Amino acid sequence: MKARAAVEGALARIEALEAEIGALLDVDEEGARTLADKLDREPAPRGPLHGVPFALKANLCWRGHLTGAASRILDGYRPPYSATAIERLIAAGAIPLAITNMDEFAFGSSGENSSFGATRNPWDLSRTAGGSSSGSAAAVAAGFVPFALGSDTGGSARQPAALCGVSGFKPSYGRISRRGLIAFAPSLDTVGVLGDSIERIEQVLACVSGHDERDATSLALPPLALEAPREHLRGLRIGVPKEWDAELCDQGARDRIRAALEAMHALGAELVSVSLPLTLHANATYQVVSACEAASQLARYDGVRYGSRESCDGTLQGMIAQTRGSSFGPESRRRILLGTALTSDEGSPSYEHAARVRRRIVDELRAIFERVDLLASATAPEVAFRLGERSGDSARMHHSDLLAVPASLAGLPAASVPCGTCTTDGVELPVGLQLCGAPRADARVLSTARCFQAATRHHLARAPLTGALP
Amino acid sequence: MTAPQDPATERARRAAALVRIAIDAHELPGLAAELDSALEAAKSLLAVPVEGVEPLWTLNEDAASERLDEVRPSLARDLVLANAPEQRDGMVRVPDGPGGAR
Repeated sequence: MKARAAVEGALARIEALEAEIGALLDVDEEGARTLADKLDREPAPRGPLHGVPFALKANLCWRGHLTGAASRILDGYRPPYSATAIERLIAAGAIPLAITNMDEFAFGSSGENSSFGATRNPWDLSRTAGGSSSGSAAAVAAGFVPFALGSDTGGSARQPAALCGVSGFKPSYGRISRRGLIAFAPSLDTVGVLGDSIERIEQVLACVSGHDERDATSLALPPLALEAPREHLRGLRIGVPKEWDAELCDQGARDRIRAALEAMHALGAELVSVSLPLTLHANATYQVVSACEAASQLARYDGVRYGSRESCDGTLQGMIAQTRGSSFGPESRRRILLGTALTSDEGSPSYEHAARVRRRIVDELRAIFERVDLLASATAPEVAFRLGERSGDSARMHHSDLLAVPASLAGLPAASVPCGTCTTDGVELPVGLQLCGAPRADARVLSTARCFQAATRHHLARAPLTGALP
Repeated sequence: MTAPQDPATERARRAAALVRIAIDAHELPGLAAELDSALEAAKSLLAVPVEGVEPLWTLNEDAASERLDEVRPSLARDLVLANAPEQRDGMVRVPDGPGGAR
């Protein structure tokens, strides 16, 4: 398809549905049209992403565009440079079209912490799209774009992908440059990819991965070499951790996960029951590590160099406190205070203690990959929940990321793929299967997920309201 | 004279002051309760033995690459200043310490 036609199609779908969904914070119609026309004049396609429009999460710097992490404290912020991932996609002929909604600074699992209103799930507009990459997941689920960039610090690409019935991928830590990703917790942050299929995500990974000297944590590896498409899963040992068991899940999700495991067995994979007892502490470890790092990272938002500024008494200290007090949303404030209290509260686990527990969890996870090739579980222990249902209840909100955080702590590659729908309160809602791989085994995770998709075709199911789209 | 605050509220007030976030007095008790329950939940980690375990500060410990210490072009001043809430004479402008702006 011509690039211009692809852009016009995306714009028509956005026009038809965006007002109901709230997936996007901005759309660059003219920029996309101009770039598309230029690409259409080129004599030969640059590659598989030539002329493909995409959306990007608002915490990825896009030069000259409003990418302020859905926070009022970055009101009006237009980065003077683009993230490496965006630069590489543009160089490959992909067309940045829209900026997606998100939980402020990626703090959340429902998209409700955005300063610009929550994104609604295209499968049921009364439910959340998950988070924090809520808009990226909903934009793909609504058919606006074939893929979107997100981020994944503790499940933020995989969980919304699962709840919106699209494919999502968190690469190995360091596989995609973090340059230009607005930091949340740097030891955990990754750029994530959400797409209408794993095949699409593979194309994106091949383009955006590879060493970037401007990110000191970037792996010194060339762009990801993809595995050939698999017709079966024979020879693969897939571990099913009993601590991440389907029993954790709601009934509907549980049945779908069991069916997915059976499907992989039918494709030739050997299913192996494994135990990862230390990962029961993963969520608490994640909460401490991520809050401490966030409190430190967000110290830079002080109303001095960018964003909004509030003043009360005309002093510098007063300006900083007032700006931060009135411009951070409630969840950001809560996490910053938690991270700060953890560093000073006697009787609470310190960042250092959590970092030691993290080492033990990581060692346990790495050791299991001497016995199995992949781990399989639900991505989230539930289907999309109702908007407002968990507001102000952090513990219930964190429950949604229970199965996603172990891979984040260990920097492991993990995909979420649709594995069918279940009926909840009379509505069909998607369920996601998570496949987590050994350190740096991104290509193995993707080829396995792609084989599962080719066999089950669950990824082709679409949210009902997209049925009449152009 | 302000009324004495309970320890949880005082902890929240202290954390907010430390991290330079102005919080209205009426919001403090609610924030303190949230903070209290998050800290309680985190305490489960204290039961995990970690004696002799090295902290994991960063993944890819072998990846931290060294770069040549050389001058490279940085962002243009006008591009950076374009995002500043206030600027003057090519510099970011901030209020003075006690005593107002300059």
